Amino acid sequence: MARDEGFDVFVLGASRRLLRTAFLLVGDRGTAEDLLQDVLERMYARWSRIDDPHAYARRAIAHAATNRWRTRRRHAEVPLGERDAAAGTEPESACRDVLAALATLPPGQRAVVILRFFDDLSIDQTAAALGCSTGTVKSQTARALPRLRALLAFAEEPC
Amino acid sequence: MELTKLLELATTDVEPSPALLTQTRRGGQRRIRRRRASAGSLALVLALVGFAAPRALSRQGPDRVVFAGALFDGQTHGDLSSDATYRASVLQAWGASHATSLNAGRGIFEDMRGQAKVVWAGTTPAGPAAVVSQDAFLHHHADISLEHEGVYQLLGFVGPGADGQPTVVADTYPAPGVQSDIAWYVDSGRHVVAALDTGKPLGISFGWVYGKDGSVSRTYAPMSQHDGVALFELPPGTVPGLSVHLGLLPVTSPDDVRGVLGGVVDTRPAMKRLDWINPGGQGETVMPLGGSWQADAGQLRARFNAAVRAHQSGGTPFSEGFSLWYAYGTTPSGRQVVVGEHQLEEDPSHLYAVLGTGSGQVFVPGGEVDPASPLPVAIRLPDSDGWIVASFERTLEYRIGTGAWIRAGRDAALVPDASTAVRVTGNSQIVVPLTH
Repeated sequence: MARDEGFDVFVLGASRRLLRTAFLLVGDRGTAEDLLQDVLERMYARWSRIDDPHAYARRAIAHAATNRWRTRRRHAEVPLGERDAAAGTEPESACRDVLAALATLPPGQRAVVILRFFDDLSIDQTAAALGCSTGTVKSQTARALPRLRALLAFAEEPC
Repeated sequence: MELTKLLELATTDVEPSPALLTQTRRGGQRRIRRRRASAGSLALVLALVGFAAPRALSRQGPDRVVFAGALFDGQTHGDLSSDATYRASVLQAWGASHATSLNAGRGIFEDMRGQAKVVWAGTTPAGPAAVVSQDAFLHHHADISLEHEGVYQLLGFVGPGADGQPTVVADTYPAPGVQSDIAWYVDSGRHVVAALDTGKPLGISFGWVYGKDGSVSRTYAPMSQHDGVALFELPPGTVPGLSVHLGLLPVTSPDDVRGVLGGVVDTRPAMKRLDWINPGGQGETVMPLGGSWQADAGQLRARFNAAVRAHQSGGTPFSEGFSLWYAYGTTPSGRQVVVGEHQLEEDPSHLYAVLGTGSGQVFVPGGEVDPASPLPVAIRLPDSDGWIVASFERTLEYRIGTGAWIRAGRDAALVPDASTAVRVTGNSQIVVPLTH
């Protein structure tokens, strides 16, 4: 398959999921869009050398989001407890609550939670995506879930 | 509800833009093109134009990738095609040029195949010029982007050197999906541009024209056709800018633009113009000016870009421009206002305000931005709606005439129309007059 064709198929098929992952990681739609476009442009430039585009994209997005957290602290995060009394539709309300809860997590824990429970990656896949050990993934998960559970009402899931 | 479902629910409304694929491909091609034409001492001498690969390439069998076009029919074209002496000197220059080529480090000359051939030799206003073709087997390399290893057609672009002898000024290879460099300045003085003929009328444009009303446009002059190569001689005294466009005439949309010359120029100094307000930051900086209107970066970006692009014609295949920051708020007359800084290619960035909404929207150009100024942003709104001023991480005060200084805010502020000066306080304090 030619470069453009293969790349197009990948972008059209995967961009929605990748954008949503980026959105959860950075908590801002515009930033998530910019981050995804930046990652995809870099992938296009080296498309012939990428074996697993999905894994590559997830890893790049997670790293870019982590770098962003390290280099930029001016981004306004949504404080808990400041929900609009006239909350909107269910998805909007859920979005606000979930982003606020994720924002309380350290970057590493946030990334682990999103890759494991949103992208449905295994412990091994999450470790590979974040460039850390499986033990780190387990410990970050164990620390993150109680905190999220205190802020969001959700059922137990196997770790 | 499980955590997984909560995360899904939180992202239900998040959808990628329909333009994502197009924008990504353009951006990716630009990255490759810049990487291939990497910065170096020779980079400013070489000035190549890239054409969209699908229009420039054809494939002969699974392993041979070649350029497409009437020029590659096995004959030598051009009015010097029968000049055997000239052809021989061109081939000699081609063979001697590989070691000093920008592409030598990418290994494209390490496995040459077959004989070199002059496919075009002709007279130009700058002297004799030529195009050389030769196959090479390209292998994967750390700094080369290949769809697959195999035989590729290399091209060499030749002009008269400083001593009048044939000199290879650029070479290229047709990487699939990548902008292929198929045009060049014939002479080192950049007086004559040559491009491989696409079979359709080509035009050349030497820069954006910024109107006082905020409009941005380009005009295209036709190139002359010379048996497979299009030529253009710059008018005397013309200094080509950093973004010279070639396009299929008439150029009415970005899709008609076939190449941008100037990709070898490092854009980082230009990017600083946009970056001054948030150096090293990622994403966009949003600076509220006050008022009841609350908006996020996405909303501001959409409104600002739509207004700017409505005043822009001619297009660019790579970037339609963007702003890295927005100041927004509500004016005394109750209108919403967004201010941003828009940059096209390597041009200086320009300031614009978008006032009001719908049919009552007013577009206000604010001129070039000088990031070195103590007050880079000072744009006066019409109908006495005030001035928007900004200086990142500085305290801003204004006064009217000889009145007292009144604190207006930090980073950005909307000050009264009658204001005559702004005092900017950071490590030092500077008074900047507002010129009415």
